Amino acid sequence: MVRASAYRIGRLADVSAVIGEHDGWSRLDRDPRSTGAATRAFACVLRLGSRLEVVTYSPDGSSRSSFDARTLPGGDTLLRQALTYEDARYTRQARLADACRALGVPVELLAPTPSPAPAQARAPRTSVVLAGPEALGDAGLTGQSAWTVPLSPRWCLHFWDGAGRETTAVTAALVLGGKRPSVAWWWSADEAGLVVAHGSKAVGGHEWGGSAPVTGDSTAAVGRLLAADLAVPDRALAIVGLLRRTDLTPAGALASLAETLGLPAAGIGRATTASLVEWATGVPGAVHTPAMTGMAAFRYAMRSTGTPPKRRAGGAIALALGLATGGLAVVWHGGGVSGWWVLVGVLITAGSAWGVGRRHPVRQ
Amino acid sequence: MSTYALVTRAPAGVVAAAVRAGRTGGFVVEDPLGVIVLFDPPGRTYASTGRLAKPARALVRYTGAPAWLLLCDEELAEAVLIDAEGEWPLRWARDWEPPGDPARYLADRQDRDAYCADLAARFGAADRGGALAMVRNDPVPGDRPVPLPDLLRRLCAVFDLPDVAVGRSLLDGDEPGLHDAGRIDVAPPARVWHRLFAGA
Repeated sequence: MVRASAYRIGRLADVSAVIGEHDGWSRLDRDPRSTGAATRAFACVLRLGSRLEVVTYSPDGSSRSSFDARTLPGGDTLLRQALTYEDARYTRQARLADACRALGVPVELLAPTPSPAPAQARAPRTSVVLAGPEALGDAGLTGQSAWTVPLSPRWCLHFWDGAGRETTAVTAALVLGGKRPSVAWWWSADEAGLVVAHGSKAVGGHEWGGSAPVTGDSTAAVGRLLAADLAVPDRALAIVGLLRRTDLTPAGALASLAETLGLPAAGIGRATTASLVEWATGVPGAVHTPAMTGMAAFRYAMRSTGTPPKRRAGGAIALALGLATGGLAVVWHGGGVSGWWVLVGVLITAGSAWGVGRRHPVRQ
Repeated sequence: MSTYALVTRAPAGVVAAAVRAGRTGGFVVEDPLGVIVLFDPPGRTYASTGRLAKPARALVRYTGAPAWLLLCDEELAEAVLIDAEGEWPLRWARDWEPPGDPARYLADRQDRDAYCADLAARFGAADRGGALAMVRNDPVPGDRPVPLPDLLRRLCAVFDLPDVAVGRSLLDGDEPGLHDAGRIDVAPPARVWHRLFAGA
């Protein structure tokens, strides 16, 4: 046994010697002296033949054995018992376990379990958001460098263009969800999924191949939701059936779902980010927005031709109210008016601004 | 066994100088995979993450290299990335249960994935963001729960840092428990008071 994880042994010595791991300790299939020295860790050998043999190695390579072995503080009595006590009821496993406790070695290593696989990154993922035509004006609010492509009078496709930092598809869907629902879609070699957003709330989700808690009830609910939101109520059963299928690849199932929902061909479940960008550059009316945050995104949304005139007017009113409240605050500071007027101005401005940014839930 | 340790890729000499120049002493270990610092415990019996991170912040300011502060007790494991711009914590609770609603689960998971990608980029290993996001303790049917210290070890493995720092702390005792740990005490004050009163 050696007080080093399989990862550490792999980096500094020979990981093929590891046959079990627990709590930062490893059990080896060979003498641990050299591994302990390479990993600068305490190591020990427990051999139980006709008698128990104990050898401990310090990180510097020096060794001690039997009663002289290096134990935890106060562990020498327990080690002495494990080495010498004779009783038929004192089994071999109990003797070994006591020796482990005396040395501070986890007893779990006596029944070794294989090391867990190291954390691996998932396959590259492509994400898109299906949203209403307001997305053409609101795209800057997602904060990512992206393309927004009109698919039909009813739908737009919004996706990251691969530059800078990506906003998650679900977050982008929540930002772009307006009077119509929005749907975040993503797919990779080993998983694919979707989340439906109404306004700024995620109301349904499903994933193939991932670890989302998918149940029969959740697939039924999401299937009905998608059928209603995408105006294909007669296909609800087919959609639920597709969500429950396990014989397709995750991306293949997502592509089939997009077809079943009657969405315009846009590569959902098939395309990569690079191919989507290439496609978008040739689509008339497609809008590219650079990554922007804060006031720049707000200004962009207000100036965009895709923003409905009603919201633009609301933004202008909120801005005017804000300026007026600022003026009131200056007058109040000079002792001209009561502070209550400033408070009223702040509340009205906040209410107006909330109205501009508010997302209306879909009525079903 | 608690954990209160900092791991960094800054050179050991610079780290030792940073500890010496700070206000909290401790042990510095030059490991083949990085440098480990075990800070002395704060004076109070209870200390928040912010208080425990105070000497780590000073060390990162001095060295200019980002570092992970590893904290763990029976209930919570926490890895705090400290860089020039601030502190970015990742936490795992012992009895964590992910949301049962797939929509919320997927939204939370994507947020966490994006956050991990950001942390990895801040640490200078943008390609490890995906692997960091997979360091999770979601319950898996049929499997034993992942012990909290193992999550910190996996994080160290993702960034090629010394995972022997996990389980080490001076909060429970005076012994560092690490080979070749060198004690560093803080430099005495700059003797301003001494000079002030010497002239009187």
